[in-house]
Parts: sequence; structure tokens; C-alpha cells
Amino acid sequence: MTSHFRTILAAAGVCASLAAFQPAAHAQGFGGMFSGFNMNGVTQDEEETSTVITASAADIDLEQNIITLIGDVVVDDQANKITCNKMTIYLEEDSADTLVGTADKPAEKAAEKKQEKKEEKPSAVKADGKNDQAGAKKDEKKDENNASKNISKIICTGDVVYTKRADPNDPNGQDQIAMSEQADYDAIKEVIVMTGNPVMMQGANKMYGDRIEILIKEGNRMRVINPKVYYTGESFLSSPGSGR
Amino acid sequence: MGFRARKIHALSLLFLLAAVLGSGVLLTAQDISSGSYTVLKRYIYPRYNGDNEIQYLVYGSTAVNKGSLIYLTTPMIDIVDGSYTSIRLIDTIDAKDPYPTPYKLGSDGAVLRRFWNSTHHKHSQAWIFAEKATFDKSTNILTSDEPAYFRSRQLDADGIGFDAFNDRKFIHIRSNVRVVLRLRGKALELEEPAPSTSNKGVQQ
Repeated sequence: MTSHFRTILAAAGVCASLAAFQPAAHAQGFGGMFSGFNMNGVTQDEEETSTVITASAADIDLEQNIITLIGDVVVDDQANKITCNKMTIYLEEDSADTLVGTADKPAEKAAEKKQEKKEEKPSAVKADGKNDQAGAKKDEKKDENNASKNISKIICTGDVVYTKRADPNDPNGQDQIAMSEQADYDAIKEVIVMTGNPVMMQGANKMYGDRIEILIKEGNRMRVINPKVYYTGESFLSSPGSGR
Repeated sequence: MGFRARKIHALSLLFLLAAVLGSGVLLTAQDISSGSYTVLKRYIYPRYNGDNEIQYLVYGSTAVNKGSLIYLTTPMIDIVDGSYTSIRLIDTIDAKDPYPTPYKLGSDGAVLRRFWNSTHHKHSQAWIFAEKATFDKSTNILTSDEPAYFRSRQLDADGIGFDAFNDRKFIHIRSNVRVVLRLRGKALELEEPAPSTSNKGVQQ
């Protein structure tokens, strides 16, 4: 009977834990951390609170459209924090493909684009030395280059720790922490997928699974896919007869 | 040495430097002094790739050429996007225009739009600013130990020291990196077109 009671208590603890992992209303969100600011209709206050990412070093590859931040990478704002050893940011041309989320390989896209531009090159060469034609070509080039690049995905690797800070107005609030070997942020789907021994924690509660998804569109709701093991605190773990 | 002789000497040095720089074309050189090295002031140095496309433009207040190295003061590297085969296709910063300066990290949208909507930056993929840098003509690598400021439509980065491998548009920022990302870089160009005359690319 006592064993059943403990089981019920454990189940209640798990339910409480799951409820606690629901997003706090004040959370800015992981996407908000990366976005810095959205130029489309945000307030001045939002623009001025751009999140700064710090790192030991950076590699910027403008041909491949890949930016890599290396060593002690930290993204921190008032509501969220992520740390990792390496962060790779992928850019891609803004196109119809981007909107439907089918472009997965920005480097290949860039190569294709470059090839297209090369095929257009002969007309530009002819413009040399002819001011009128050069002016017209200049305008064409401006239009062509106005097809700007956007961040398509960000991959964090090595000791990834994501922290969603507790609501400061909630006296019982606790930080939610997710750790994994890798975190993939899809800017189109607005979801972060943490893989590689992911674990989610809040206080003494831990939850393991195949992966952890952070749904930015749903206010950074975190969910564990295929949860395997969970603990519900020190008292349960240390209590006699728990089987551990 | 008479005035005419000095003038001829200075001109010959200019041609010598132009030859040494290889495929680069020196478009602006307001002052040349003679000696064991050559000094250029207010220069523009375009660099082309194997396909005869402009990879980048280097602007700066002073360039001192010593052997295979060129020592640059306040260099500004304009990394060109697209396949421009002639500098005439680009709105370069002329002698009468003030040089641009890097806007602060995390600047608001108005500042960003003013910078990137400038006619001098429309063609740009990115800009790099530094106090000093050294260009090695033999390797085509630009290096600096000084604070560096990388600006692009998608992200801005500050750091200490950089190595720019210009042939492949690759920049390594060595330390103390601080980055601000923008997920919707395209909006920079779509919002509030900047006036073309009042905006000479100077920011705060």
C-alpha cells in the first residue's frame, strides 16, 4: 500500500514537473535572443535591447555564407541564456524556397547563385568604358543585389546549456535548464531541437529523452520527445523502497 | 633636384607601385612622397578575382608600401556582393565624400537603414573597419592586431584583431568577439529608403 502511495506521489511530482516546464508569460524566447531586433514594426525599446553574443573568436565565410563563433559562446538576455563551445550560423538567399522551408543547404544555394551570376557576366563586361550603359547596368546590379540573405539556421555544438530564467515576479519560480551536445535552431520553422543526451531540469527534477524541442512560436514551450527516465526530487530518490 | 625632376620621380614611383600591386588599379592618389617607400593618401584599391569580378575595395587615409607589404591606416574594406566586372558599376566613395564609420553594435533601425541604404553601400556584402592593417600582396591576406568592426546586413561583429583571406572572402576575428544577429536582414533595405543626397555614409 505504501508502495502504491509512493507511486502516486511520484506521478504527481512528474505532473507538477511537466506543468512547471510550460513557458513563463514574460519569456522573450530563444528566437528573440537570436533575432536581436526585427526591423518590421518593432518598438524603439525592442531595437535598443539587441542581444549581444560573445565568443572567443569568429570565422566569417562570406562565400559559403557561414559564420562560426568559436569558444565560450554566450547568448544572454534578460529571459534566456545559451552557452556552447561553437555556434555556426547559416545564411541563405531570401527566396520562395526560404518561405516554404525547403532550402536546407545554403552553401549549395550560394554556389548555384554564383553560377547564375557568372552566366550573366558577359553583358556587364560590355558595359566597360560606356558611361550610359554602365549607369543602366549599375541600376540592374543594385536590384539584383537587393535580394538579401537571411539567417536560415543556427547550430550550437559542445556542452550546450539553455537556460530559461524564472519569472522574477514569481516567488516560487525556478530556472528551467536544458543541456545537450547539440542544438539546432531552424529560423524558418522557429524551433530549436536539442540532441545528444539531452536532459531537461528544473530544481531537483530531471527529464531525459531522445531530443528536446523548444517551440518558439508557442512561447518557448519545451517538450521532451520519447521521455525515458525522470526523477522527481531528492526526497523521492532517497526514500526507502523506491528501488534505487 | 629641381621641381620638375621631383615631379617625374614621384610619378615614376606611382607607376612602380601600380605595377607591384598587380591586378589592382589605383584610382585615387592625392599625394605621393618619395623615399625608400611609397605613400598613398586617400586611396581606393579594388581587387579582382580570377573571373575578373571585383572581390572587394579597400579605402583608407594612408597606405605605405614597403616590399610585399602595404601598411594601411584607417582601412575600410568594402566586400562587394555580386559580379561587378568594372568599378564603374559601383558607387564608390569619392574624394569629396567623407569616409563612413562603423555604427555602434546594437544600433537602432534608423541608423542601420541610413548606413545600408546609402548609395555607397548598396552593392556591399559587408564592411570591415580597423584603425590599422597590413596587406600582404604575396598572400593577398589582410591582417590587423587592432580592434576590428565587421558590419553586414545580417550580423555585426566587433573584436580584436582579424585576418581577412580576401581571395575567398573569409574573415577570422581573433578574440573578444561580440556579435549582434538580425534574422530579417531584408527589411533593412525595404524600410524607409534613405535620401540619396544627404546620406554620404557617415554614421554617428
